[in-house]
Amino acid sequence: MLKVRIATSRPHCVIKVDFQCAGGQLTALTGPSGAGKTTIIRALAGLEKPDSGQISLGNVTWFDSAEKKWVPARKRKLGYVFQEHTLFPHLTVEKNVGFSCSDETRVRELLEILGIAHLARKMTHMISGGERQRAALAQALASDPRVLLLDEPFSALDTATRARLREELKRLKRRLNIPIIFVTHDLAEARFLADSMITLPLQIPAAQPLGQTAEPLSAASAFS
Amino acid sequence: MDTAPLLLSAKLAGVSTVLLLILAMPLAAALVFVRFPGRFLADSLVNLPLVLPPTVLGFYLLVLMGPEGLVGRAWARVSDGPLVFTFVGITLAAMIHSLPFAVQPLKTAFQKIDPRLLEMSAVLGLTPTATFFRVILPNSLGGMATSVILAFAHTMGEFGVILMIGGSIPGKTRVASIAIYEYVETMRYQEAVYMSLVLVGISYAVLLTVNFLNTRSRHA
Repeated sequence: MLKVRIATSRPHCVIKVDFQCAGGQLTALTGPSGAGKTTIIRALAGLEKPDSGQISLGNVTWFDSAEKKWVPARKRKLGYVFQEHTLFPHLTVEKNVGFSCSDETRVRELLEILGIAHLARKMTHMISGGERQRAALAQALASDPRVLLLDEPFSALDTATRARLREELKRLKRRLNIPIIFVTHDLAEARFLADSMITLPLQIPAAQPLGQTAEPLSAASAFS
Repeated sequence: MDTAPLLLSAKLAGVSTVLLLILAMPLAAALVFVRFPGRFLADSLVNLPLVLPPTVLGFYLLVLMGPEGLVGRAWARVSDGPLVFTFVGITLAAMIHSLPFAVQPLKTAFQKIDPRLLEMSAVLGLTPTATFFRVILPNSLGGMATSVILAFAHTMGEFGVILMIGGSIPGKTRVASIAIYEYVETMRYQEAVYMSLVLVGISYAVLLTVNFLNTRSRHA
């Protein structure tokens, strides 16, 4: 079970969330651009330290502001698909997927599952957006992650590819049996994939007289 | 034409370039990726040899590396000999003088690396050292090549600092540029012309190579 209760301040506002996500469940983080979705997912990944709160997976604490505990990204054993489908440009698709996994059979299997086995030897600049997305997902899964973080992974794709990958992700969710956090601003996509949803409100910068701090905007409504 | 000074210059440039690259890679990485107090000062210090007159740099190195200097005394304890007027001495001096030529292209290459690649590497479980070798260096090959070429070429033409530290001992410290200076002083102009032409050729070839590499990396 991934437990998240964090608050982090941005100019003029505070981003707060409090949720849990069990293995085999997908929690969607939705909200308009600038609401803080990526900030939250980066905090879960260990790339940005929140101001306060706790993050834990099972009985392992990744972040606890009260105890000043912080586990860096490299020790969290995560799969993270960045918004831009970031891949290492100096490596082939196969080497990208196997970057943190020495098991060639598993790499081969993931390439097959995601339908990109025929691209294994191609350099990443030679493949399309949809193929990059699959390669990035395969790379995230290759290291056998304990949590999967997906930051708007389908945002740059055409409608048909997007629909196909949604189906694939739904199938993968059952197979993987790990908590999946999925950032999207597409509510239909969130409803289709998610077991629970966190909707972040738009953080509107309010003019503040000097000497006053902004009122924290409350976070999350959840449904299941 | 006596080829010994040219060969000595090439040997000096080769040895100092290899050592410089080993030194410059972690130094450039620290200056780009690590936030430490005094980084700004360290960065400027690395670039200081670019603007210092070689005789000034050579003078301070002579003080440091001379028999009474800190480095000279330490060297004498381990090697039982002086550091000045030796090949080791001029190699050290050439390395210090060429340091910015090796560090700057690496810094530029490191700064161009997409920070998301470094984050991704961390998320995939790599240590900062592993990230350096598996992500940063393979994506900085153009910068590394430029660094090697510029450091080599700058050392090939090294004069003032070497004259201060090494003098002109044939086979030990008499490099091409010092030989040219002596040819001119003794009015052996033809030998000066030939050796100078070789250095001009090397320098031009270096600039062509750097331009080629830069053009290629811009279109990559």
